[in-house]
Amino acid sequence: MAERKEDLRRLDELLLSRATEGLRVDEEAALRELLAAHPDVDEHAYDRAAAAVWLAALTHIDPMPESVKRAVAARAKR
Amino acid sequence: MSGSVLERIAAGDESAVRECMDQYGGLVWTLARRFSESAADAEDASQEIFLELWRVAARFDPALAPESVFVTTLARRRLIDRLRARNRRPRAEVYDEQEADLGLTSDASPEPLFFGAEVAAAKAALAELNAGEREILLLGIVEGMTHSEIATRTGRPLGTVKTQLRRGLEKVRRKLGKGGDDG
Repeated sequence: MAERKEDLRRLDELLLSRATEGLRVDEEAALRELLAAHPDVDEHAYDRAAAAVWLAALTHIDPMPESVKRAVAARAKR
Repeated sequence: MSGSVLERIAAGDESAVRECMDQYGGLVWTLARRFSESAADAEDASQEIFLELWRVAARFDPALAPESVFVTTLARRRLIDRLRARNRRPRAEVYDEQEADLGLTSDASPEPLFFGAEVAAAKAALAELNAGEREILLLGIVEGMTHSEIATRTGRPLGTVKTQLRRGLEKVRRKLGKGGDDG
């Protein structure tokens, strides 16, 4: 019971870090292991919340240059 | 063929690829520019993001989040990973107090560029946070600062920064889960 609680605490900490500042390679490995052990956890919940915050704070959008669109389309065709 | 642009890409509709860029190119580009040191780096990141978007389009589930949130989630993750790999910070844009305010206290606030219950819920959740919590959340999410950088910037202990980041995102999560209608 205590071990599961500690696992979930660590899992939450890693998911929070992933959504905000990113993870080190060793942390990514630890996260994968914990997610495999706890498949019921919504691993994207913090990410979605962070994305919604970013969208809510967005005050302007810079249009993507046509040259970049062309480059993306060219890579997509490869 | 009907459905959202990502659903159409997942179904193999080639015309949706260009449409996806037209629809979300500005969003991805704006995010990439903010998280990149140069236009060339932002271009490379944008290409990576769209290629990944097309690879994983089938994972988009409109029941979980709207497309704009899905695209932003994927883009942020990719950009954070790129920054982490290069051990550097996002472009040093000066933290803009006006932007940080989000118009939450101003009658003249700009309308959000992406509408929807999720964005409205996030804005409502931000409005409910105290100024300190909101500052930490925006430094972490919008400015892309690490937890340690936020601690240095605000003079708060690292543990407090993590706690307030968690509390802020939890509040947004709860709002998202309830469609922003829990007050």
